Amino acid sequence: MWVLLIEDDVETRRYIARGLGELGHRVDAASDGASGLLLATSRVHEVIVIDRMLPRLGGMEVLATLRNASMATPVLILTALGDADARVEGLEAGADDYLAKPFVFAELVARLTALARRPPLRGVAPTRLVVADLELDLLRHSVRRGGASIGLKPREFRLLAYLMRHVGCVVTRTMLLEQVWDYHFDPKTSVVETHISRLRAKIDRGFGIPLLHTVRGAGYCIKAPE
Amino acid sequence: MAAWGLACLAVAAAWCGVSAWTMHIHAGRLLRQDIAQVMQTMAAVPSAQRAAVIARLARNTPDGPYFYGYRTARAAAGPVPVGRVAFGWQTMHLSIGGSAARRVQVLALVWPMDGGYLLVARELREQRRLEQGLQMAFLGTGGLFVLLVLAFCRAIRRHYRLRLRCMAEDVERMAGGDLEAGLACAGHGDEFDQLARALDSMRVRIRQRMDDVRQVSSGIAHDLRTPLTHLRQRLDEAQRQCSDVDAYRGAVRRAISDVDQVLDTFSALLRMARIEHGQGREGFVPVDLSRLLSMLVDDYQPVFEDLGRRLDAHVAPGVYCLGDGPLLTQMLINVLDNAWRHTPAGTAVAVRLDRGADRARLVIEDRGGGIAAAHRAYVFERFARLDAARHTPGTGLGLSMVAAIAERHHIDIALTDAGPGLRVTLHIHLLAPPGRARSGAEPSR
Repeated sequence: MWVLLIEDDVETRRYIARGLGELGHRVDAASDGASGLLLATSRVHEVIVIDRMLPRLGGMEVLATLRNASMATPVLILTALGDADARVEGLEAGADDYLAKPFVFAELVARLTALARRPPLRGVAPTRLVVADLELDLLRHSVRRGGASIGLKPREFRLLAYLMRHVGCVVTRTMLLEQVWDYHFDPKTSVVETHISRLRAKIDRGFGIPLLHTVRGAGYCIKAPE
Repeated sequence: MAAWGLACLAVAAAWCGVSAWTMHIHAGRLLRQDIAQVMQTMAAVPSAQRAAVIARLARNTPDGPYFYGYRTARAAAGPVPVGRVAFGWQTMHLSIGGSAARRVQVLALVWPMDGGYLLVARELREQRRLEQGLQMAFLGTGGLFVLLVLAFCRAIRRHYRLRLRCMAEDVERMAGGDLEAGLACAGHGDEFDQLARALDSMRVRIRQRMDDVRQVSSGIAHDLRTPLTHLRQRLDEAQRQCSDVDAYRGAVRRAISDVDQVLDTFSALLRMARIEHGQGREGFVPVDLSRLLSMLVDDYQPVFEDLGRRLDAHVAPGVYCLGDGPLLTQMLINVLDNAWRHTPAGTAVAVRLDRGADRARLVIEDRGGGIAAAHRAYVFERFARLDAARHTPGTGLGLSMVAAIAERHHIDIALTDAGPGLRVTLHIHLLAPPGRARSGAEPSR
């Protein structure tokens, strides 16, 4: 994954760049909005991380300029302002995801991976998701594994659909809370864990090979056996 | 003050002038009425006796106030002017006899009578005297009145100055930082009292906020000190004792969880500040409370099961309110969270949403130890941790977040004894269910 990182704080920049580098990703780093924009327009990155508060050219302006130039590269906004208004503003300005500081590194990686793997044609959504012998039909709201029908509650269905859309990717607890529950705060209760375990009991138990995996210290991942 | 005095003088002068003029007109009219009346009486006297009557009158009252003159071809009585005489009203001079012969200026009415004329007159000095008397009376009372008004104004000014000075002193004292004593209120129920009351309620609110800040800062200091102390101890210990990578990893993991706790407290405080900063009902939309609660119960029933508890729910359908869905969700989650944390395993928590006349009633009831009546108000304060809960995990901000969100939505919260357990009752203002076109309100963005 080729990542452009625009962040003015030296510590954070070093932290992210080194972390991504260790995972084998290639990182271009810029310390202000103007040079970041220059890098963004001169190379083809898979995903761009922009800090909201930048010297010379603010993060939101960089994003607006990119979008005005019809650059569709996925953008993740980093910010110290984690409130709902700032998040909505960022998403409306064309950001693809939003992460409040301080964050756990695994969270950033999971979100960047999900963004980079997002299909370019976002308008055409698949109606059927398949992982190994597990099938999910979004139109009929039905789930089958190995030909057997599985009954899921609405929330479990949404959870499974989200996991299957990100097949092979790690999705974090926070990503699930935001995308499946619409909770933009930490409920401090094991609501995600509980539903994951219920879902796992329904789709994996008795089927031999487990598809839904817990990635320790990071999140969850659904993937076909290799 | 000079302008005010000048204005007073001008008004007084104008008033005097106008009153003198009116007086003059009025006195003249009175005089004419009297004369006309006497003339009519004279005209009613039979013409044969007229000359005799008039002669007698002139003789009896030689010095006035009325003078009578009568001239015909056959008779004459009383004083008459020299030369030709015109009929009607006129001012003239008459030479009268009486005690001391003199010439007087009179107002006279001359009527043709019996081929000659009859004259009834009254000395003009009379009118002047009347006018002067009236004017003196008017000027006297008027002057007194003006003086009284001036004195009254001065007294009022003094009174208000005094009250304003008192108030200014109180406000200065408040500005100086002394917010304990209230503002003096004279109890007259006037605008000054209103102002004093408004200032006093401002003082109370400022003091409350300052108390909040004081309490929050000491709460932050205390609550952050604990995890930071742990963190320091752990790092110190790791530095001294860790000999292998695994031991270091464990120490780092624990250190990170300590830092996370500090960060959690901070973000909860920030969130609460934002909720409290939010003004009025800005950003509120119709929320299907029944649907929101049902979804929440569906999500939390398995969670409660895994925690060895039970969540029972009865949700009346079609209950709508105006609000912020995500905030309401967070409020209810915090109440549920509080319920399971402070109740023993194996017990049930009951949630019930009922529709009232104008308000919905949402009750969350547990079978735990409850909260003593004395502590019920305290638990909504920031960093409030009852002794029993002092050593359980949590930021001590959950219920204050509930209070902040409830206040934003004008929701009344009551904590009562469920015997045993705690009953949290929320009274939520209802909204008529929106039409189908607007039914998109749900706990989402």
